[in-house]
Amino acid sequence: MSAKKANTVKIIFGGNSKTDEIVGKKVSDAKKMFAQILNIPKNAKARVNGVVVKGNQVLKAGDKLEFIKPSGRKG
Amino acid sequence: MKIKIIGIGGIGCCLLTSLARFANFKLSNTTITLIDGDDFEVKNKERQVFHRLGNKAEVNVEMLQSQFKRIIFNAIPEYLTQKNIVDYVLEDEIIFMGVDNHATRKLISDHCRTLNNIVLFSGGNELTDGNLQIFIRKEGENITLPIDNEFHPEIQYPKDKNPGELGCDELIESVPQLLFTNNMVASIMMNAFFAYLEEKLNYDEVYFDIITNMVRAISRTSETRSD
Repeated sequence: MSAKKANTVKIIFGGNSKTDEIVGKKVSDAKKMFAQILNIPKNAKARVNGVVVKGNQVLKAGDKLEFIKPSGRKG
Repeated sequence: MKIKIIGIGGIGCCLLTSLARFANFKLSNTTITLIDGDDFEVKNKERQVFHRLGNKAEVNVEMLQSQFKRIIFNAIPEYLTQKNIVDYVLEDEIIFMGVDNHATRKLISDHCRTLNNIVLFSGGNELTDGNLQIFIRKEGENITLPIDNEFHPEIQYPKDKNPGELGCDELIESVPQLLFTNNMVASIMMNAFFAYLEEKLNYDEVYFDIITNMVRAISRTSETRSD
């Protein structure tokens, strides 16, 4: 793993994602930081590495933080 | 192969011709059944192809049967409901679902859980993004998660209603949709179908965004099993 990768977290919402150096920040802070860039709604539930977490969870290097996007309703 | 397409709206119409063409030339002994209780209206022209007004399933069967002679097409001009689903979604079928409400997704997911062998491709979209979920059961075992899984409480506990169970005075909410987004869902569904036929399907959900042109395929089943 590269040095840069070791200090980063992958943030995901739907089809979009971004990798950034937010190690040590809380999930709730990450949500605020990326809300606009990734279109994350306030009520989106968070999972870190597949596990449901609360907003006060602190992010570690290499974490994958996904805000779960609901299924499309229309067709 | 027995294929059913549930919901002949924006996604269903985008799916039909390509899927029928593929089945006509690449698959043998194919039956394609279209299911939808809705009628075409003039306003549908923006996103859907039809040569006359009438029930969406019946009108499309007329169009497709003349083009693809090797396929047997059937139309079921009804919405799926708790009462009729046992008659229309059967063992050993491939289901493509492009409905416009989570209540029907839940109904079909629940019913598929009772079957031994079924493959369900369920697509949905908002204006510029959407997703595909894939539920496979083989010999009575869930190979992938049902579509009303823990990641999707909106399907587990739908807040909308199945159009087949709406009262006469209740209207289905109409929201703007985009042909390109419907087409993207249909395309992703067909990609997954092809991967399934090739025995190379290694994901059970796909998200996309047509503004950023990003697509992300994932295995929710693997995520759950590694917990």
